Amino acid sequence: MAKHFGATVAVKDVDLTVEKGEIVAVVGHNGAGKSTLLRCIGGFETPTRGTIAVAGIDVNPLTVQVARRLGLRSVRQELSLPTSLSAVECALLIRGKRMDTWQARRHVERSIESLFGEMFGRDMPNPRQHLTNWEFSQRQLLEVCLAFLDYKEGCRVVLLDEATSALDADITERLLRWMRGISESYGVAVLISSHRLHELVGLVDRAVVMADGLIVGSAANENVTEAKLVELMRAGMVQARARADSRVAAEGSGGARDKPLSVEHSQSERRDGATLIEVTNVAIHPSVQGATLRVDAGEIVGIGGLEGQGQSELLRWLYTHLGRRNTPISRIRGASVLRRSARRDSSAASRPGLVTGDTRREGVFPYWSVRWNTSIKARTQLGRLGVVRSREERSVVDALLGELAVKGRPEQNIMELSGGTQQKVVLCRALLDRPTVLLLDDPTRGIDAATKDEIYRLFMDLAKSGVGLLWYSSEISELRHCDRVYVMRGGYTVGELKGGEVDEQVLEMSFSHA
Amino acid sequence: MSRVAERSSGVASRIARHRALPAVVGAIAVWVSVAIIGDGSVFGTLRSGATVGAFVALTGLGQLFVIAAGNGNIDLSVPYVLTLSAYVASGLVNGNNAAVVPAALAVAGIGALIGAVNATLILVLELPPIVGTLAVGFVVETIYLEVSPHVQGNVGSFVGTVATGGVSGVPYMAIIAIVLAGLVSLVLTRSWFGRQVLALGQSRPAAELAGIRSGLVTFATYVICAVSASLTGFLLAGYVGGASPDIGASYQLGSIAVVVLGGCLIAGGVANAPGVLAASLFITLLVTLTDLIHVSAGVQQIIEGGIIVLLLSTVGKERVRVT
Amino acid sequence: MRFLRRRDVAAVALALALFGVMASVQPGILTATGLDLTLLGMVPLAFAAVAQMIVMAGGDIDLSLGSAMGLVNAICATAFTKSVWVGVGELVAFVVGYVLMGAVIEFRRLPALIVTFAFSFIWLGFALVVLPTPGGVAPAWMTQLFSYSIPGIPEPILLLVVLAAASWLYLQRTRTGRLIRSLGNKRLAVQQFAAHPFSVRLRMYLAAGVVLVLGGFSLTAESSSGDPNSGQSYLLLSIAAVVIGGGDFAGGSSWPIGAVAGAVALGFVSSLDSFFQISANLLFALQGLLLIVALGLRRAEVLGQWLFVRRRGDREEGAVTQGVLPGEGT
Repeated sequence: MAKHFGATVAVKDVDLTVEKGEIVAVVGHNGAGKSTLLRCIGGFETPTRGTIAVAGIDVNPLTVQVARRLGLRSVRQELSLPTSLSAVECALLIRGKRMDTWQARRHVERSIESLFGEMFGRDMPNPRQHLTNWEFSQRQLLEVCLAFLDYKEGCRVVLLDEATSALDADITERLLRWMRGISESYGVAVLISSHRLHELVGLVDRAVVMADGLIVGSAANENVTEAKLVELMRAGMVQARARADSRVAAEGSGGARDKPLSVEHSQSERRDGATLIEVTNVAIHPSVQGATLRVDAGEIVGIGGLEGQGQSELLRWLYTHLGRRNTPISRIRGASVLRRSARRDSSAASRPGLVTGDTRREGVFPYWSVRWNTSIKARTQLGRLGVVRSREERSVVDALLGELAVKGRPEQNIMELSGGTQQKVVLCRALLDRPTVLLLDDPTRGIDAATKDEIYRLFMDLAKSGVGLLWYSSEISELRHCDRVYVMRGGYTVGELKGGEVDEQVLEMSFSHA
Repeated sequence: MSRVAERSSGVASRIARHRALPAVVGAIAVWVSVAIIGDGSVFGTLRSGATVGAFVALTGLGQLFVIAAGNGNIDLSVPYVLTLSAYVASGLVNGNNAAVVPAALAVAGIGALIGAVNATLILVLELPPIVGTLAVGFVVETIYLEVSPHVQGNVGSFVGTVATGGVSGVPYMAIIAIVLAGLVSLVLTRSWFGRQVLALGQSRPAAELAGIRSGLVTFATYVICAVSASLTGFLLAGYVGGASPDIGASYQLGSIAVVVLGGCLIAGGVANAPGVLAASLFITLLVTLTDLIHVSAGVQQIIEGGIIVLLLSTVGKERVRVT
Repeated sequence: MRFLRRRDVAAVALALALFGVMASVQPGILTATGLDLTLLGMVPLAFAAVAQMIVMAGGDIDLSLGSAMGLVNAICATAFTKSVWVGVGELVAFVVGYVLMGAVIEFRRLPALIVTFAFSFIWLGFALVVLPTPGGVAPAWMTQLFSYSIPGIPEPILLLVVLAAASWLYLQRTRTGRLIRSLGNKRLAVQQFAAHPFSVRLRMYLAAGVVLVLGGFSLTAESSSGDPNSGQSYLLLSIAAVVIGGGDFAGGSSWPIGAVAGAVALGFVSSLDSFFQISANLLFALQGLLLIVALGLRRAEVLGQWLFVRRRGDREEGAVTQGVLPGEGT
């Protein structure tokens, strides 16, 4: 099976068989394709190629409703239960009866309460309360519980797509043990994708390792150990890199590290060593427990680690806190961002720039042109008395767009451009008011390879001209471009690595159970 | 994922015109029908339609800012503000043309105050805009109902002429509406305030990341809307020749309808001032047309409603916004 | 004590409080006839509120409600004089049209606000066709239906209780009701319950339409005649009643008891002017204030928790050094 999203191939070619009563874990680093795989099986996405067969019969098309009827239950990270209902009501709706009697309700209530207790070892919060009153983690537990509700009858396969990532370790262990038990007795198969390798040890029949959209290995029974899985992931990563390198060599487009930069720097204003950000043991409720890092001018500092370990929150927090002092910015007169002339006013932006990877939701203004998308942040320089200085807007913005080789005309509507180009526009926006430090929250997510390369080169050029970059990337290979890399895990910065080929170290640090 | 298209969509204003197209076509179609069926002068109909439509257009232009800011913002207090202003203006001017300017300032001030209250309830108390503005509207209604018996006088001959008269066949109100629409267009495209409003309506997270102060901008839009409603009330009093409690009735949903039919998205982010003009004309002439066909009042209403639904189905298809 | 936290308790308390206030000023209403008279006027509003609540539970809002009730009123006052079947037929046609409105909203994913606004003209139009000027006669059986009384219990109370109970049962205890509440909360959530958003929305408008028909009946019975514009005031009041009763625009929330209580409270407010020497105009302000207060109180609860419970916000430990800017020297 394969699944493409436009130019991005999430799943390249996967063959997977799950037997009755098997518990199979799917593991891998970010972007390996685990989630996409499970979503396809659950009916939320349609594979671009290949087939899905349930109980020997090919199913096409596999929609969510069809999947459910065939006994496939999905639990995903995003909660799908409506909060306006109570737990009992959700269960009743899943059951599918039309009207219920008081006895039926009591029965369902009791059965989900006992199931909950069995599965997680704790009491369910009030099942008659609307779910808005429940905590997020409790709702997650409920979703898992409801997925197994009919384990004795119709349920065949339960797909847990990162469903346990927010749960406490002891709950997850209990849950896995319980699943072990019922899968043996009732033949329910479980396909679980998880980052928490140590939890899977001893409790799954088989673990399948994915990297770069492919299955790169598997381990069964007693061979399922954390070390083995990480090793397989590492090997997969090496293979993926080799593939990428050979493809790049074949196409001749030049990797970011290979070609010398062609942009000139007349006067590099690198302030070597000037510290732009220094953060010591910062905790930001609820996701950051203790982060320590430093970014100097001219450095590209990377943050790695699995998704959701606090990286985004840290970056956002830095963005709001570093920008508090609002210094007026002098007019930009066609000066290149990359070439800083000595003439430039020294009161440069104390406001950092932030670029997020969630372009669609937090990046683009979908009804506007490229030019307008870019200029909006630089309001103060490009306006007089609140009026837009169109000529200046045009010249300054267009110059920047040209420098960054943004494809497409500035008057074009931004949605006509590819995702990668859109992201470049968002980058331009952040760069237009000349930040001294650029915070990047997984900016190259979902972007095509060629544009990614352009963006890497841009980062390096920026660094050369004195900007400090703090760059969180969910893709390990990108961190190669950094001078230093921190890895975050569980809300802590767990390590600092010197730049270079740090892929494998980052991988290990992302997973090891401290 | 977005597709890369070969053809370009052109400048923002081209898109704007595009969205107003159904309203413009509708207006022309209705006008032509009126001209054919009616026996009055072709331009006479246009004249009266433009005059009456101008009032709705003015309130629509104010409402446009609120709706363009997106995020569920809407102002249901417009008719009440309008009616109150009509009374206050009548009372303050009391036939004395010299008092017009101070009265206008006072009325605008009242509008600004009400707009500020609206915005405060919505931003601070986090009332949903529909409820907040409605509640304020109710309070305002009480105020003018209390005030109305004590108000005598009218807004004077000057305002009366402005509201009803014209120059070389073009009604003053139409001119005012056109000029204001042009001004609003300029603000939306050429001023940073306007751009901030539109940015907020398109994507609040992106706007806030770009440093836009969403609270302040939203506040300003409510003030603008209320002030435009109040000044419209002033002028309307001149047109009607006085103030009455139900003078504002049709502006409740009328101000919203012309905004949406004119090509603005109810979700915000896209605004079209010329479209508001076209839609106002369209709705006004539609009433004239249905009058002409000599159908009963009931059928008139059905036709009007039906046409709006039809128009909505062409215009109102919201772009599938990614949440 | 947890029961006190329910959102509709405030509305019920408010209704009772207002009743108490009125009773203290005019003890006459404590009699069966007194209650009857006072409450009778609230019944149509209660139906309107329940219909609006159903629509809001599904995440929409119905701005055509006033005109719709006027239409039902007009039909009742005219069609039944010809024959029962004509009346039934016209009412069924209305319900079908109402469901069609819901279909337009869902099918084209149009904003309910505007579509229902447009349909308000259509309903009004039909009402004017059926009954061009106020008049007509309420069918005798309808008036009788609403003046049926069990000795001791005024009919309106009975009706209100039954209405609240029935709508509560529908939304809380039937599959469709739960699906409607899911639809309003997370539109696609209904898929996991093996339902389609389109069919759920249609059912929702069907239910609301039926309630509106019943509301129109009560309106006709109360006024004994027909007037196409008679429903106009119910629109905004129905929204207010739902909101006071605990509902919100987020969709999915449904507080039937609250909606009915809110309608009663607003009804009391409407009749305050005859009890006290206050200007009738003040009523509007009071209704507006009531809305603000009711919602403000809800926020206040959240605010209070925030103030008095130790805030778990940006707890920041550790040090942050603002960087040195290039050009500022080291």
